[in-house]
Amino acid sequence: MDKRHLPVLPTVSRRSLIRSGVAASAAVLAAPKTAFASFFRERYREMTPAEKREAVRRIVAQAKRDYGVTLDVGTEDVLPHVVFGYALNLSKCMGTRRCVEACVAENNQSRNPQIQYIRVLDLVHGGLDLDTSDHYFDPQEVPVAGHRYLPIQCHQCANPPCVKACPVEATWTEPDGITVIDYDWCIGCRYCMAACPYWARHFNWAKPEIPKDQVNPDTHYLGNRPRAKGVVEKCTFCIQRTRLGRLPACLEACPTGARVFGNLLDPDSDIRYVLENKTVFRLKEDLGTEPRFWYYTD
Amino acid sequence: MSRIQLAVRGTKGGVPRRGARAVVVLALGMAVLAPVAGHSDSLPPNVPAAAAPAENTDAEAQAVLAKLRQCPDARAGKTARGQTIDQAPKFTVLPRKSLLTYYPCTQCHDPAGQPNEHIRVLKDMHTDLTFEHGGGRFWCYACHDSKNMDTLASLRGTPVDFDQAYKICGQCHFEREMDWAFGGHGKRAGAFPDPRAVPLTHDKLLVRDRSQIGHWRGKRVLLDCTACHNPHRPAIGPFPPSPPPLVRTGLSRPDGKPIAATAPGLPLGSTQR
Repeated sequence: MDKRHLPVLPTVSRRSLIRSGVAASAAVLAAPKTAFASFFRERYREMTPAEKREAVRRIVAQAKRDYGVTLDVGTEDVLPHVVFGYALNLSKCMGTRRCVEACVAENNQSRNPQIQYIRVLDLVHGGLDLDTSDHYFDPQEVPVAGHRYLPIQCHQCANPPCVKACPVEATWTEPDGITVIDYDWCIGCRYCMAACPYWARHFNWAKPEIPKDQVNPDTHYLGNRPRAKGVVEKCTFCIQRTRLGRLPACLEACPTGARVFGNLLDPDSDIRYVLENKTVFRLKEDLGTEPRFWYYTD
Repeated sequence: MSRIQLAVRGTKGGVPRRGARAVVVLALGMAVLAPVAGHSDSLPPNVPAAAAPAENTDAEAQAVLAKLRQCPDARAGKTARGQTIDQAPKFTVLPRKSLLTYYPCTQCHDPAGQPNEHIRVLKDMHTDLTFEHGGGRFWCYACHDSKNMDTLASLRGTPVDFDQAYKICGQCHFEREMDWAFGGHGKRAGAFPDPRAVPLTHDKLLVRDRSQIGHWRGKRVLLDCTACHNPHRPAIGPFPPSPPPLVRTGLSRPDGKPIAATAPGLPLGSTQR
């Protein structure tokens, strides 16, 4: 849907409004420099390198106050000739949820209220009925005979409905296929959550709670840096890792090797082998979202 | 498989209407998740392994082995692009000889000794091993070299180093070996300077050092089959699952079980249990 048809002002004229009206008085109030700068921040995509450094400095200072942790906030750009793709082997997945644990730890997700990017669905053998699937399953041991497991996370769609729904362009798809959020620009309207058919976006209803000793300091501006209350967050294929060449945390943690990740443009990559040689399908493909996340079986 | 191809072909000719596409997706989903009769290899070990054959006689085992030794070399499979396994992207295998408890085996096994090739219950040594591979029909020398205990041996008698165990496994599991070499099966290791930093142990499959497991680009260092699978009991799992997510306010469990509102969150920090 064209954004102009949404019942929202086309580009929320926050900056122009604030700049014309309130800026002068705010300046007079002589607010602390960081708060001032933070309030009048630019959007990430329009920042100069100097502005990015300044923004990173603010984030690091804020995290120091909140968690007592010195963050390493990366702003690594897209790698040339890389589009990321993910495949998951349903024959191998046993529903251990190790991916969920690793994801929460890696991506500084709120423990309370609980946010998890990956949901592992428990499907009764032979069915793909998501309505009756159970993601609260908790037997003594998995896999349970007759059950199959289907983890769902952000599918990094090539035609992402969430991006179209955002009224303030706070979320977009990077050239390497990762849909990211500028947490400083998100207004928390949650339209993207309504638009996503995979329940892949999550809202911080309260200030995220992360034990200080469990904050992951290796972060990316568009990825796992600590979020504030009132913004939406999502899986970024571990952008802070994958742009450095590492593998996503969920893949590393999988004890059965069910997950495959790689560069779709590299004909020798693992992911290309899977796509070319396995029976693959994508979830809710008929919606036309063009996910870059495939499921396959041996 | 044929069901999928038929369904896809059915839409190729005409206009792919929305309904038709939904049918294809449904068919794909059903085909993928339906019990794959006759392809037990592709199923996760949901179902407990069948009990070992009651008549697990030595004679039967010898017959199986003799049969296997006459099989043609099956490593000639090709990918969709026509590559053989030797044309897989270059990789090395993380060595794990130094992790073997008793290696070198000739410390105890006398090279001049006569190995006992008959199935029996071990009483003195290696009593911790359970022989479930192949339904208990294999004895040591299906994979180990009876002439040199410090190496493995192919069914045709070619010695294979312990660090190249995948060549032994690939004799029967050649399709899996193909997947593994091209990246569709198994896990990558990083370029470990010290092989003792190997992240996975035999039985518990504990991730010790996550930071050192590989990269999606760069040097391909693969974990050998035996890094994850115990060759004597190759099935993986079962595992105790990590805790479920908390039930969200206002929602209930689909099975009507009581809501564990006070259930603890994830054990924070590591991926280990």
